[in-house]
Amino acid sequence: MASSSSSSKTGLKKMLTLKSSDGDEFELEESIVIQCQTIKHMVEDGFSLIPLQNVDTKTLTKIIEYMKKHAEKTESNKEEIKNFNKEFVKGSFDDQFELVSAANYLHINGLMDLLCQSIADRINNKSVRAVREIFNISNDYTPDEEEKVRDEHKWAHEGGEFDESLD
Amino acid sequence: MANWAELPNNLIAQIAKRVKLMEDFIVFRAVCTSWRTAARKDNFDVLSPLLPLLMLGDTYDGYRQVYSLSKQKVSYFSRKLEGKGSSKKIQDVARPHSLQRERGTSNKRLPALKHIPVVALSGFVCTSALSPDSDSDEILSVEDRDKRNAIHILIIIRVKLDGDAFFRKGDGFFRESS
Repeated sequence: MASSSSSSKTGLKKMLTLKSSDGDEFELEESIVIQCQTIKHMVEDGFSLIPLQNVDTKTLTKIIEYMKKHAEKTESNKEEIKNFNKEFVKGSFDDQFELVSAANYLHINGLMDLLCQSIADRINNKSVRAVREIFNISNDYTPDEEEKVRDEHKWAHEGGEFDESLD
Repeated sequence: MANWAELPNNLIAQIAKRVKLMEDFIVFRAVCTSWRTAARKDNFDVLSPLLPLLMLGDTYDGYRQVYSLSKQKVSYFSRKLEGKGSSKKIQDVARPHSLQRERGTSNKRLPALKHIPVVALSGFVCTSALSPDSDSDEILSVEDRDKRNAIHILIIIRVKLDGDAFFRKGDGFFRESS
């Protein structure tokens, strides 16, 4: 596949193994995996089997899918990558939670960008109540505190139409 | 079940940083205590191209009305105006950040206004924004369509969460208020 990858300069593609928290192993080219800063540092330290105790198989599979696609990135397939990204963030909210936690732990900058932006976009024009419901967050303010928080920027919480839907 | 309130602080901050509108950022910080702690005010990207808020000349039941171009809706500043129209009182409401825009003073913190689209407000004629770097003091002008009434409209350039600078036609510079 990726014959133009940087590691091909040396003639041999260096392979690495990632091991999920469920014990599943995935063998990948180093050139793909070094998008992930955490792994890159481990590779530099000489590791070739990388155990990822915080990432389960389901999440790791998705992340590998992302890294493989983005390793193919060139000038000519920008549109394709864009569409891939769009599809990538369509998963369930629970999945996105796992993905963003893993991307944070693994330091995959592009993926962090993509996921954090997609999550932030869900908040657009929502009321506090709707955001709590979407993210399944319980209100842990005391009534007094909440009143104070609301009062601080009251104008932002009222007037016009808020989107109370949970889309 | 995913617990979004218990994400690591740095991750919540990363998400908060990508909330582009101040109104949404305020909502973000009001969701729960961990989000509030993580999404500090300086996480807000003051340089993202925000559309200014228009402070409308009319008051509603004594409350100053503000029109958000981004959300295309009117909201109200909570503080009641007494003696409406006096610039002292208006400054109180707008709580401008200390930012002068007289010639020669730095205006580096102004958001880029070059690309503000022309938004048609019913009853008003809006003209497009000029670059904050240009010599002109006028950022955005909003006038009554029939030009009969005096212009009471303020252009508020929101610089930081804890304060706004505003421009009032005729003043020639951004007001500073403490």
